[in-house]
Amino acid sequence: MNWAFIDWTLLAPEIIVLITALLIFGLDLIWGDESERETLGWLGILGLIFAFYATLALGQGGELFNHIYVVDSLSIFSKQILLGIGVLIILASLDYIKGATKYEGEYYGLLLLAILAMMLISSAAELITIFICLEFATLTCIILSAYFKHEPKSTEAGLKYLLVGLLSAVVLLYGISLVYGLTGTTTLYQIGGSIRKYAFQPVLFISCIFLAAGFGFKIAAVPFHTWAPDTYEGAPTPITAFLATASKVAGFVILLRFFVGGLGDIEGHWIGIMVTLAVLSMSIGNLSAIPQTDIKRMLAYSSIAHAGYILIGLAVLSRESLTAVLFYLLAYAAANLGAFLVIIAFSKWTDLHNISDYAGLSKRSPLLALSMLLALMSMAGIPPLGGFIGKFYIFAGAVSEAVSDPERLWLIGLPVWGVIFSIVSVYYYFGVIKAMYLVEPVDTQPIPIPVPLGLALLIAILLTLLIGIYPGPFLALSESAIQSIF
Amino acid sequence: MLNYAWWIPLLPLITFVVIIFLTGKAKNLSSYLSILSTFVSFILSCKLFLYLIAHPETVEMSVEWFRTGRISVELGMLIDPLTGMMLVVVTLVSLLVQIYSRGYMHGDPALSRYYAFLSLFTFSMLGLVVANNFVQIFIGWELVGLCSYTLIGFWYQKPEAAAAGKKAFITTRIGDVGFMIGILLLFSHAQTFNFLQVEEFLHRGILSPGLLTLIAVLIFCGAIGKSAQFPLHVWLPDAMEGPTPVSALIHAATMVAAGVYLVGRLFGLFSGSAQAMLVVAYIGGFTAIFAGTIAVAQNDIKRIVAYSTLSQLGYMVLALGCGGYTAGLFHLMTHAFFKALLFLACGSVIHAIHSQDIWDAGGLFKPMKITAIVFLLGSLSLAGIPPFAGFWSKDEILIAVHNSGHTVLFVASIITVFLTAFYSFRLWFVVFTGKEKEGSHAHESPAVMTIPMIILAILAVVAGLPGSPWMGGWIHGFIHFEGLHEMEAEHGGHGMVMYLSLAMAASGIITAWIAYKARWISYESMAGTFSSAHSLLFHKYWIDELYDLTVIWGTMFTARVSGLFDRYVVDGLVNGTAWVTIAMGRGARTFQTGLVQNYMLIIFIGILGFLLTRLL
Repeated sequence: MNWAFIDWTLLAPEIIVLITALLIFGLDLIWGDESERETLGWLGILGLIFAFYATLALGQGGELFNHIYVVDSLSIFSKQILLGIGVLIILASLDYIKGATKYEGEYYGLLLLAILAMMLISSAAELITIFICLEFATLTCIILSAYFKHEPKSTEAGLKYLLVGLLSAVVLLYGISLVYGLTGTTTLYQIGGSIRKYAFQPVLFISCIFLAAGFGFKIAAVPFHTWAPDTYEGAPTPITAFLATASKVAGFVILLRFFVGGLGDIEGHWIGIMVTLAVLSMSIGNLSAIPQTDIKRMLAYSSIAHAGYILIGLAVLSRESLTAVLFYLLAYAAANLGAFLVIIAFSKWTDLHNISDYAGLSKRSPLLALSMLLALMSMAGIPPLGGFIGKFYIFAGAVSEAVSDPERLWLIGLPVWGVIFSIVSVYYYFGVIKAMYLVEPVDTQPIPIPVPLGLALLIAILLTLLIGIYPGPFLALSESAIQSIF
Repeated sequence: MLNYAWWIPLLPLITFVVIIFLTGKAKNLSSYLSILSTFVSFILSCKLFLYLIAHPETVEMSVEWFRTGRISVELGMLIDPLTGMMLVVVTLVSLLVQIYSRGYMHGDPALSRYYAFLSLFTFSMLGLVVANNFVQIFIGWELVGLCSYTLIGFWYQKPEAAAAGKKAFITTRIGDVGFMIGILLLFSHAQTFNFLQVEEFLHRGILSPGLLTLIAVLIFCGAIGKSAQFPLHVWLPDAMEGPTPVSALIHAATMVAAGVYLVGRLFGLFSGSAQAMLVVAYIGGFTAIFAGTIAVAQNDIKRIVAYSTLSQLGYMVLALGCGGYTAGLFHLMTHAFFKALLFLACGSVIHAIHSQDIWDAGGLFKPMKITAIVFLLGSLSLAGIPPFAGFWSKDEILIAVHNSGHTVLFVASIITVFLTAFYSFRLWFVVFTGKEKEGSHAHESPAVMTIPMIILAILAVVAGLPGSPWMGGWIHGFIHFEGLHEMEAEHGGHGMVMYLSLAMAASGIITAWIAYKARWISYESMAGTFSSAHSLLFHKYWIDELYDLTVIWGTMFTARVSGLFDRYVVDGLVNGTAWVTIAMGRGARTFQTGLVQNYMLIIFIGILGFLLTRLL
């Protein structure tokens, strides 16, 4: 391989993030003073913003190392979302992490590495690379989940993530080996070109299942979701927010790239799997969210349910529905971050996690309550917020595909199922809203909002509103992103 | 180049958001913010208006709002001379009303809410005026309805105010249903919401005449509701329960103007169907004379002016229905100024005597000179006396009606001229002349209230000049409808119509003078002699009572029955479903044992399940 001919500028965002992360680790060693640690967080934000800026200069992108690593509109879109999420998470962590652990500097470094791993996932187009990047991301996330190592819940979160993650890694690797055995190559580009020849091999179906299981673990789709509630509950809240948004985005991008981009020619083999995952995730996610008392656990189940809605888009497999997948991810990430940011501010101050503890929040902190209200309403799919438009496009995509092709009329069942469970979801989202607005507070002390967190919250909520009120540009963005694989 | 035009509607919207979320507690700051933003909008509107005078052209600017499938919905602006004129009128009247409200609403505890909704009201109307497509105009339309609800019911502690707010909202909504069906029907054929594209579609003549008439009449239903035309006029007089400056805004520039504006904006659609035009003309003509007669017998100062609004709106709709495009829209502008003036002056009177009954007033000329004079100017304009603004525009309307050849409508509109002059001067003579009432401490309102009135009074005098021969009927060249220009006659050639209307107006004033000032005949005995007729007029033809007995009773009855059904059948089902769902949730939760072995087992079973479904 001739290194001179590699267009390194395509890797500029990743390189910037990597250098920033290493810089943070280095400075963390040199600086002795505790009070300077916050600077490292700001340094991380700066690095992410630079990297974001670098993604804007990528233009049409290109591919590296013979299609092992592709920089296309999909991966650029995904990287931009990931970098945005990263900035908001660090902003929210600045105050949260202070005094909670001795190892502040490493926290930011690891967070940056996790973002880097997910950026790599977005571009990986070769099975071994995909596997390594996935494991890179999982490992950094495990460390971050167990970051408060003196808290049993945090340790439990990390351990469960690790053990279940190991199982899924094994399954994924087995699936990969089957694909390699069949096609003799691991590059998606080549697999996609020749896969039609093997369409009648039963092994192909088995490998589809194993790969779906491996990726399903990342997006926490039922039945590969079991780790999520425990990990979400126990992990430090900014990390929970990170897992619920960034990890899901990266998981869906790899799912799209592998199944739609790679195995798009033999969709009959895997559409059934997607349908099953979608139906199970919507049902189990929404139903299990109802009896939850812990707000982070409730949102964990809600995020499982959202994975179900998004999977409808994959199962329908039309330009419209795949565009909706990306659009939904964007709207979901904004609203979910908004909700988690409120939880971060609230739990840092009160150290309480139950839904009933949010009683009277509208009186204690009207801004936090309003933000939570908008975030939850968006997730429940109430207009004019982003989540509504996202659900609308997902369901509309399924309906228009079902109506246009009589053989696929059964697809109409998916949006019907989705609508039914969206209604169910209103119940548990409004449980929180009811507590915040209708129940009198036990403790009337106002809750302060740290400035960086307030800034992040403002961005997330404004974005939720903007996506809902003026979806045009976001839709255009999603549409151009999906063009590189479909 | 015209990009600043976006700010005209946006500024009031931003103000609304800022007041609601940030400055709600600082009442004075909220009001100043609102006034300032409307002022800037007004200046920008003037700039745009001057540009349009220099370049009378149609400019369309838009961005795609969202898209589903082939349907694209835009947010945009369609800027032509009509839009330019409306923008200036709306922002100016809104600005003056807001300044006036500083005095009138002084000390109200909910001042921030008041200004927030005034801003939203202004935004909604501006958004409607600049709209370049049906979706946007409908959104503005509904927002206007919502704001009227919140502002009419502003003093919601008063049951009548709350009821009036509801009545306004529901009554106009009835028309809106027709409007929406019309839009969707048109869309299903034209496949676009954009005005210019729809116009192009209509030019192609694919639409059958019957369908075109149906669509036009359905859309006109919306205008009937908003512009309070018969039979959906009942909400407007009740809307007097709101604060008087709000009435001024609703009656002059925002809500009721929307209906007339809609017909003007979609004139291409209406003029394509002779039957639809006939419907429009007759509804307008009937409303004009019908409301005029009611106004004669009312005693509430605001209600008299309110019925006069109905009547004048009828004129505008009549003019449009007769093909008098320029005439109707010109009257919309002049009417906005003199009617806003009359309402603000009414507010000034009410402010002074704390009563709305004209018989509680009397002899107010001496203590309230400014109010009396501006009121007189407004009334002269309303009655159509030259050279005041109302004369020129009303004359245009009469000529348009005359030229259209509908004799019945022409006679009705000439009689309405008499009625208009009569009731306006009845009001003026009773309130401002005669003896001052015992114990009256009436005094002139503060400058913050009188200055807006004086500005409007000047406009009520001069706003008609663009239609006068001195400016060569300039308005005809500015606001006109392509292909229809020849139908509208020039001013000079219709001396007969002008003299007739002048004679009617003069005799109306003289009759009012005889009955209420000189007292040569006793109006009490007149009312006694024609007691049944007087009672009919006083009770507004019993229309409200008729609706109560039919539509409202029927609706309430159906509502009660469905309420019972809802309580016992639907609620039972819903509670049952909820119970089952919660039980299922508890069940689903048991999978989550917390033991990692079980988690792995679930994954294993999941994979196995997938394999089995494929193999079996």
